[in-house]
Amino acid sequence: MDAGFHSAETRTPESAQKLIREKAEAAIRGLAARKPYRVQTPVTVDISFKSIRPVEAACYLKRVFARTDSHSRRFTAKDMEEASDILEFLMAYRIDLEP
Amino acid sequence: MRSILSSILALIAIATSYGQQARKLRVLISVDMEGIAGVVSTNQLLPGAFEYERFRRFMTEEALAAVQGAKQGGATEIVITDAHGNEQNLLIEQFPPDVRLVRGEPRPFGMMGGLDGNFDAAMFVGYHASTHNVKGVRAHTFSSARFTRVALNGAPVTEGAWNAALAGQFGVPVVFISGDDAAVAEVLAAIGNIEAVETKWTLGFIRRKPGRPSQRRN
Repeated sequence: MDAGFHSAETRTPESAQKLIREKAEAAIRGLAARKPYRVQTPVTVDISFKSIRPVEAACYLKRVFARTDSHSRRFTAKDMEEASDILEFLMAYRIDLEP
Repeated sequence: MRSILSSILALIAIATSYGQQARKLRVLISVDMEGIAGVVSTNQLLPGAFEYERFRRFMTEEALAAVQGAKQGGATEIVITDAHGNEQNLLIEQFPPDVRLVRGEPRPFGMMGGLDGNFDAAMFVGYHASTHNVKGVRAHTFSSARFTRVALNGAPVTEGAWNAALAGQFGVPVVFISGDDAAVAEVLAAIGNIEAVETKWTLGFIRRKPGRPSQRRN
């Protein structure tokens, strides 16, 4: 059954915290073996929206956002930093923002 | 004689300074809330909800556990970035004075606020699965209210993998994740094997496998 959005069998806080403490220590001790996770650049980002209006509003930025279906837009960024900036703008901007 | 002594002392001072620099180990810890042990609904996640104040304390304590473990492992400088909702959830007075915290939004790099190339490692605490995952507790990608799917280079992406790729651009490896079982599985599948803690297991996932989690997991 794929129904777990609002339910779980959970550790107690104390149990989770003990494990986190142990594994975080192990993670730092094993740092030398870890490599940064790098993705191919430029990056392509596809976002599907629940509502139609943000998708339609983005048509005025057609040099940035391509429409890929009724509820989806695509943009390309030169790297993850630029992709993050565009994503943050999408989530933060509203015309009635105050102050 | 005096000049020889001065030279030796100067060399010792340089060596000591170099040693101190070499021992510096900076860690960024990004802390979300949906993957904290016990969280299953907005009753724990939204300011004003009847269990929010208890669970922001548990969120803080899981972040503190990561701080303590990282320090025990050798971290010398730690920045905690509050990465849930309004990004003002962590009880900052609970942290030791040598830890710095990033809070409030909007901000550059969102859940990875404070990130730069001076960090040696990043950790994720309290993370959840992505919006297309049918198994995750409170699964979403960046905005449960606005987005139904986010993909990176053609493949659906979880917040953890996105943030790991952002850290990767700065040469910072992600070395630890905690969260629900679906969130942990997604990130490990994307970025490879790292230290991980499953704080809870979705019931949909459990029912497809024999045995209770306590019998199957550490």
